[in-house]
Amino acid sequence: MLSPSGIASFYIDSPLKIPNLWKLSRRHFRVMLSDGRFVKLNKFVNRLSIRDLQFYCWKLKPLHVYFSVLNWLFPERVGKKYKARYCVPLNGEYVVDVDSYMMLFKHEHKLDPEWHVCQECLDISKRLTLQVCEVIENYYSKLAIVFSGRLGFHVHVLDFHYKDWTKYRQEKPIWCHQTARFKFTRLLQKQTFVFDKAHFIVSVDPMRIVTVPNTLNGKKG
Amino acid sequence: MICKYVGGREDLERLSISELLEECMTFSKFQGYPEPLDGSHKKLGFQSSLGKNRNGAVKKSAKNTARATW
Repeated sequence: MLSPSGIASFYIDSPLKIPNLWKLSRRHFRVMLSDGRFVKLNKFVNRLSIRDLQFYCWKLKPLHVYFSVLNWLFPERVGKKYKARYCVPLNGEYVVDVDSYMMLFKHEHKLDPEWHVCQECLDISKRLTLQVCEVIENYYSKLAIVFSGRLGFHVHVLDFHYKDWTKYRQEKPIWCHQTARFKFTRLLQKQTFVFDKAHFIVSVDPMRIVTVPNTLNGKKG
Repeated sequence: MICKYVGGREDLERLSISELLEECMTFSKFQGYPEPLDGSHKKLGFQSSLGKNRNGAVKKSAKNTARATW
């Protein structure tokens, strides 16, 4: 695990660069601190810019930085799921988390002494990710792949739209997002090997949060 | 490690795992100064006399400092 001073020096020494693919001002941000607390960054500033994010990362020294998969009209109000319709969900990406253990081919784990990571496991994750991307590209074209900082990859489907899969219901906006994600996940599950029960549940959840690209996974070191 | 943005599918196909690990490794670059996380500094007794007077009471200023740090 990285020391708090190491985390602070990472955010102050190198400017945080997040590609323009993500609209940060509409996202809900949370950070996990070293003492286990899970802090909402939007309670300090309603709409965060990249500079605000870098400042709070330097100040709080988080082990993990997350953002919501959905864009919100009022990201500062996001909290419990049953109140989420008052935050007005706009739209958002669909994210698949690919981990090597989902389809582990037999191999000897060789932990690199410098990186403490089995390269063969990462290679399996890469192959699984490519397979998922091929399937997703039958439906959507705008994909962004992010290394998770541990043993897998996140595939962000940026042009995912809930209206492709279900109708809009004004009284239940969260339900629309959930139904659309459920239908798409079930379709992907039949054609790929990356969904177990836990991965299926989080992929369907519209309140899901994922790691912000180019931030630090402080747990792994 | 850094959660690094890789790019699209073509970028992932071209990606070499060892290069990715080299780019994402932070420990050697951003180690910072040694700082105990688990309260081991208390066991070693570094803070035993910090901000205390002869009777062992903590000074008000020392309390404030302790509260201000996260």
